Amino acid sequence: MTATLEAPAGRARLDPFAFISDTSFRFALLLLVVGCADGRRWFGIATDLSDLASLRTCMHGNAAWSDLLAQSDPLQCYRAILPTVLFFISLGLALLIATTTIIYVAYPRWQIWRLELEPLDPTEVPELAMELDALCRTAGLRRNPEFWWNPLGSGSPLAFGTGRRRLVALTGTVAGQFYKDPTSFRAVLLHELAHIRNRDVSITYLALSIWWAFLATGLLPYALIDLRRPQTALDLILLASDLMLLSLCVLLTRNAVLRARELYADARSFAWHRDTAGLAKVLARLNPVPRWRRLLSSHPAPARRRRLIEDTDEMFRFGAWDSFGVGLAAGISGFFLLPVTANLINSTSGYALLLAFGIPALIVIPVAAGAMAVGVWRATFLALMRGRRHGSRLRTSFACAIGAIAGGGVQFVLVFAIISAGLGPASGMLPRISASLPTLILAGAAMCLVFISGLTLALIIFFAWIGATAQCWLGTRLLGSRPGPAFVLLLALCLFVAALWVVFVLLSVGTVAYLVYEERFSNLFAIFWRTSVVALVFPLSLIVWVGVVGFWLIPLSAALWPRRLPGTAFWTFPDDTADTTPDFPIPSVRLQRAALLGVASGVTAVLAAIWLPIPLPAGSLHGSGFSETDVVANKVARLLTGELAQGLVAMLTVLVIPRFAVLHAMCAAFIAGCVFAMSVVLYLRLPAYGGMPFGAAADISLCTLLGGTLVALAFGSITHLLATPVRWFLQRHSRAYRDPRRTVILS
Amino acid sequence: VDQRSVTELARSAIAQVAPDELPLFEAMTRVWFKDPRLARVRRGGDETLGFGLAEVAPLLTPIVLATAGEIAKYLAEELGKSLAHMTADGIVQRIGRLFRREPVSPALTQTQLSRIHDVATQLLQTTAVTRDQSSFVADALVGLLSSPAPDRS
Repeated sequence: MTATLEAPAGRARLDPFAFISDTSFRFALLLLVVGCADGRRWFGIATDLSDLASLRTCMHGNAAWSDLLAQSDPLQCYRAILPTVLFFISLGLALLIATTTIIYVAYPRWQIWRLELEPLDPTEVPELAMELDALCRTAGLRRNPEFWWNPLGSGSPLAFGTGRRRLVALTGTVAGQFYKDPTSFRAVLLHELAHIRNRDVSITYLALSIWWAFLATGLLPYALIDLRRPQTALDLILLASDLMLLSLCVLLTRNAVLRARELYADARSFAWHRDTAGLAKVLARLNPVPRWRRLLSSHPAPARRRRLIEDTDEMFRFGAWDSFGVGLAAGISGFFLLPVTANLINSTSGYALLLAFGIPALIVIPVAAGAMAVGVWRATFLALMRGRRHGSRLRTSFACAIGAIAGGGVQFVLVFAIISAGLGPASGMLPRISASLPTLILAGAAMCLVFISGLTLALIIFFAWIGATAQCWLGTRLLGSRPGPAFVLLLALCLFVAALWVVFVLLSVGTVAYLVYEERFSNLFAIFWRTSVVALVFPLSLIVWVGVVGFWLIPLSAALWPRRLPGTAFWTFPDDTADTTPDFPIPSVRLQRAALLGVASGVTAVLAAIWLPIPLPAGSLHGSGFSETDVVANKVARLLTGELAQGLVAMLTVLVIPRFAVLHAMCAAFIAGCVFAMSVVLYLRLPAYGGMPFGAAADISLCTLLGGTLVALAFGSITHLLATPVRWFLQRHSRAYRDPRRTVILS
Repeated sequence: VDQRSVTELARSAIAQVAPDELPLFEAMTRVWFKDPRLARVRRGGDETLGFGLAEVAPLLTPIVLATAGEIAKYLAEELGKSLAHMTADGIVQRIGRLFRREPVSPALTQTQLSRIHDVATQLLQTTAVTRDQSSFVADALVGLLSSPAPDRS
């Protein structure tokens, strides 16, 4: 591959292929969205064809929730239709897969038939055939595609095919361009060959096939079956809005895949051009895409494509619209899976509800978080390369949260409100809530706002963490050459840990809710201690510890890896000249400093626990499982002193190591906690203090360690939030603080 | 009229109006005579997946071939009326010679040439070519039919 593009104003053109292309993640999102949207429609078909009269009887018509809950579990009523629902969802998905496969396999033949193509005979047009061969060599293809053409056809060429067979369709007008306007011909053909080189042809045709299959096997049967019964105006509005929303979401996701592939093909093929001025002239003839159609268009805006000649920076940005799209896809999927899993689990106990939320989260979050993580990683890379700050994380997070609600939450709330108010075709299938429809909708809107706020906050933390991990690792030799598998592995680890945190948070919230509402606990210490017990129960313990340790270990362990050698950057398009990209300022990881702080603080915590335990009255132990005596309270007070010490070391670390402050704080606090926990075990095992068995002593120390780590997370985050504006102020106004040795890039 | 004669006239016209298409002329002619329908020429590629360039000017070769065919039909009717003593084969041969630009006697009249121009223009206006291109192509065809080729010997 030969790249001869000049870097404008001394800037190198960044190579978007250095990281995973987001075409793949968008495609994964499309699969998730279509699968869930199809399942949702077949869920609707199943309920349409089920014996709803018995369901309504079971639900006592429009009885109030309180009446129904007093008699039975409302989910039990759905048990009768559960086999039908499962059967139809499976049938729908099987039909979707079969139809997609058929369309995908038939697509090349259909293209050949539709465009009236025939194999291009090199003896008939020898010059053209030679040029095509030369272009394939330029594109670095291992095997030339088959060239087919319709000498009388007009329109753009097309790369298509299935499996290993790749074809390029040419038309007479394009072939004519070879003689009339060779630059234009090269631009168009190299773009198609870039699709083959990028290996996105299969993804493209699968995306198209799945779209048609979804329309044929998901939306159409549902519309036909639903329209069989008498419809009121409200029914028709609900049906139309549902079908439109689903098809629009699938179409938007599909076109996002198509746009991404076009940009990547442009980025790849533009690097093969020698005549950039000629290329710019060709791109000036691109069909305009009206502003309002940009999200619906299968092509990116021409201006955006033209900019790629000089600058690929845009391909590294992760904007609010990207984030909104991911949120939308996740929302559609999540709000479909939620009622399905709730029905499958068929219980309203605390842990069943936890599973009902947890399972959809575990399916949807890895894909959505993966797409976002790749975006954040790339954006962080761009910010480092260009010496700029990254975009607003608040805006991106908020857009994703809004997307998630728009993708399913709004409709979910609306339908729930309509049914609960005793209106609509599904009236009587949920217990009645004695409130007017506007009140129910307002309550639902309030719930949506709470959800948006919570999700926005969680995403800000997630984006910040992924960004920090990217900053730590980009300077290592592991990612110094083309990252490939190392990057994928790192990303997978990040997503795994993020998923563990989701489960951990859900577990903690579920446990606290259970303790407060079911067990009627009101003692804060008892709630805190009992929640810490999750650290001991396998496999929850594994989830918790891997999550807690992985949170700081994944980014900070970059310090254990050798640093990248100067001049071995992988992030510009490889060309004949040496890489002239300046090394960006790789922020330092202070793992040793954090570890030293942790050990010193751990020893201090032990001494503090012996000499200065915090006062704890015996009554505070009520409900915690400990005996409410002064002796036990004294021992627990020492444990709490250790936990508090971890919080304090976290605060201290944030102030001492401003870069990746919270991560360093968690590391230091964890090490301090380990030192303290080992001391606790030794102390409890001493015969003079009762000679507790090792297992019991270890359990107590593990609870203390987890509690202390959580305290450290809270203390460290709050200190960081308070310290950030102070540092910002000092950087602006204090010359001493701006000393290069103390320069801090605020993150 | 035989394919060879229509092809000859079309090739001469293309050499004047769109010489860039000459390298593809054989291939286009071969496909055209397999299924000579103008509707085929208008069929485009898949723009959802294409490069996204604005449509380039249409190919003139199939349009000129279609026009030449239409002119041949007109001439067959017209000469059939004016040369009633001639057999059908004789008329076809005469049109073939006209298309190949061999000297024929008597030559086409000004009225006949004017009518040929109208026939060509009418057909061309149903295609994707512009009005200017229509006149250009029609003028070229009439010009070719009105003047025999220079002596090739």
